[in-house]
Amino acid sequence: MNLAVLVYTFLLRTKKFRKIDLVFDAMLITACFGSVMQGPGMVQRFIDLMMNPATMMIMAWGFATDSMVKGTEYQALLFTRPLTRSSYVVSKTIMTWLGAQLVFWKCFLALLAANLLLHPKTVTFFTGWDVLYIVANTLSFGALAVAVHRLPTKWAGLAYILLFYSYLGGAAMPAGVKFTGSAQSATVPMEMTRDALSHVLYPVIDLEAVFHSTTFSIVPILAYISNILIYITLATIMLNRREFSYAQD
Amino acid sequence: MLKINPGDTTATPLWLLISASLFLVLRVAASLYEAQHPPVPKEQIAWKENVEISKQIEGKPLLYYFRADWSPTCLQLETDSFCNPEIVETINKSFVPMRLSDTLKPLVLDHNKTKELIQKYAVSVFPSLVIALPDGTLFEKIPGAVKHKNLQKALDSAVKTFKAVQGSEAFARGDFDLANKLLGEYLAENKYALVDESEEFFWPFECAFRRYICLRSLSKDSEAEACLTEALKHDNNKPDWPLPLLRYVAGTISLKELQKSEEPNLEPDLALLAFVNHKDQECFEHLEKSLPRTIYKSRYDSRAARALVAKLSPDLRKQLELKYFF
Repeated sequence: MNLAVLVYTFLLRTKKFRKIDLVFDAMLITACFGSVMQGPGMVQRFIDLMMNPATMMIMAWGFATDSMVKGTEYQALLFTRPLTRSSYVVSKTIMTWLGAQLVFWKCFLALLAANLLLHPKTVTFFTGWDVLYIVANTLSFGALAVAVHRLPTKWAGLAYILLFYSYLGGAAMPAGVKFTGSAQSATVPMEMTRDALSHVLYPVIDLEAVFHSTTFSIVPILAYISNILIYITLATIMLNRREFSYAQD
Repeated sequence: MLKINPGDTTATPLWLLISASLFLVLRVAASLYEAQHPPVPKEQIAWKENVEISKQIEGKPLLYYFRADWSPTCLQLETDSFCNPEIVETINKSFVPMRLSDTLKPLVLDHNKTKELIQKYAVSVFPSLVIALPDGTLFEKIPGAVKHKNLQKALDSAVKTFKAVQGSEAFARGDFDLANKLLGEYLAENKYALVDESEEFFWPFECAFRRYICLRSLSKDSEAEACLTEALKHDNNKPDWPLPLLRYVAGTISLKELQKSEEPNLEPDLALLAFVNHKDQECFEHLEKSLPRTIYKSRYDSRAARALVAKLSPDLRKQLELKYFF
């Protein structure tokens, strides 16, 4: 891990995204007050939205990218130092993880403040398992966002959109559809492909479901660790194939 | 401070490659092993495979689990939710669990009974959970692999409101005797305890109004008044429906004030009130206005109002039947 990369990422993000952050904060506070006014059911839906993989992807992506315009990442400046590419990727992943969590706890504090102002009574926002869910999954989504960002520019945008909508779609319709008529024979292959993709790449782990169960399976934990390592390795390999120079800045 | 690494800055680190490969191998091996030797849960849901058994068990809601052997999402639901001790306990204690499987061999649903139920409850995806009243009336449908927390919430809510739904269903069919019994049991058990818990907030008050109508139509006026008084003891002066209706019945607000409330379809409730006050002509007028309208949130009341048509005097009934049913 490299301190310079952590500092650069944090400073660049706060510098480049300041105006966007203000708009984001205004939207967040409005949403929090709106949810609290609608009652506990709406607060729960707001929290579920915060913990949705698609939201995690957005939060992580904000920190995985250094600037609004790709290609002006100051990487050339960083890589004139004797900094290994893997150290850059790992540092970036850690920063993305911490940064994405900052946004989550910011949401939580805004929700808490809104609740204290409108309904001064005890409300349970998160359980311990929810906290672990956020901590674990912002790490895997951070690693994925860094890996996707290391792709060539035109592919990175496309991959990001595909991932975002697949999580959004998956959250909206987590079920197998049985077709009727001639399309029925497509049911099994389609389901198997979907399953393979979701198990190989899906970076979400529900620790409560894994540990708070009458049975124990090691596969989800191994899949989670393996996915993170694959994302970091891919990001390092992809970064190694790119050249950087001062001319880019 | 920056740590200076004298090595090749573009080298792919060996430790990363080895770790990634090692975990990939472990993951594949564990997946293959668990596919052959699936971990067995300690507590299991007592699923019943025979659909007919359920009809003989009274007093508990039915929980139909529509699954498919070919759907990995079903496996995920079974691992995450049906191995959760709280969910297992809730289902075994408060439901009659029925499991219906689709094997996709030979590309049709296996049993006619399963097919019939799939059509009845309009199940289009696997997994789907259907909560039904003992007589088979749909109570709630949960499509897809929901998270165990949301499933637990849905099951708890179903357990809490089961008698309220069962009583309201009897009320909607015009069976006021059974409705009075079930709604009375629900109100006695819950004692308006669900007030302030958002989604269940309205249930006790809606049930109180329905029970009031049942008791009045059964000529138990003093019990009806007691039911109304008890409900209004818990009135928190909020404008939420159905509190304005209860206030109107008690005579604390006028019809004009009631019409200002949020409820967009007052006519069925006014028809029911006119009926229990033996004002057939007034009931007829309200029914005339309510029958062609879309059913809004008080769907039980709308259906109960429709059932009133059969209880009106023959000349009024004939007019409505000719206009709306033929």
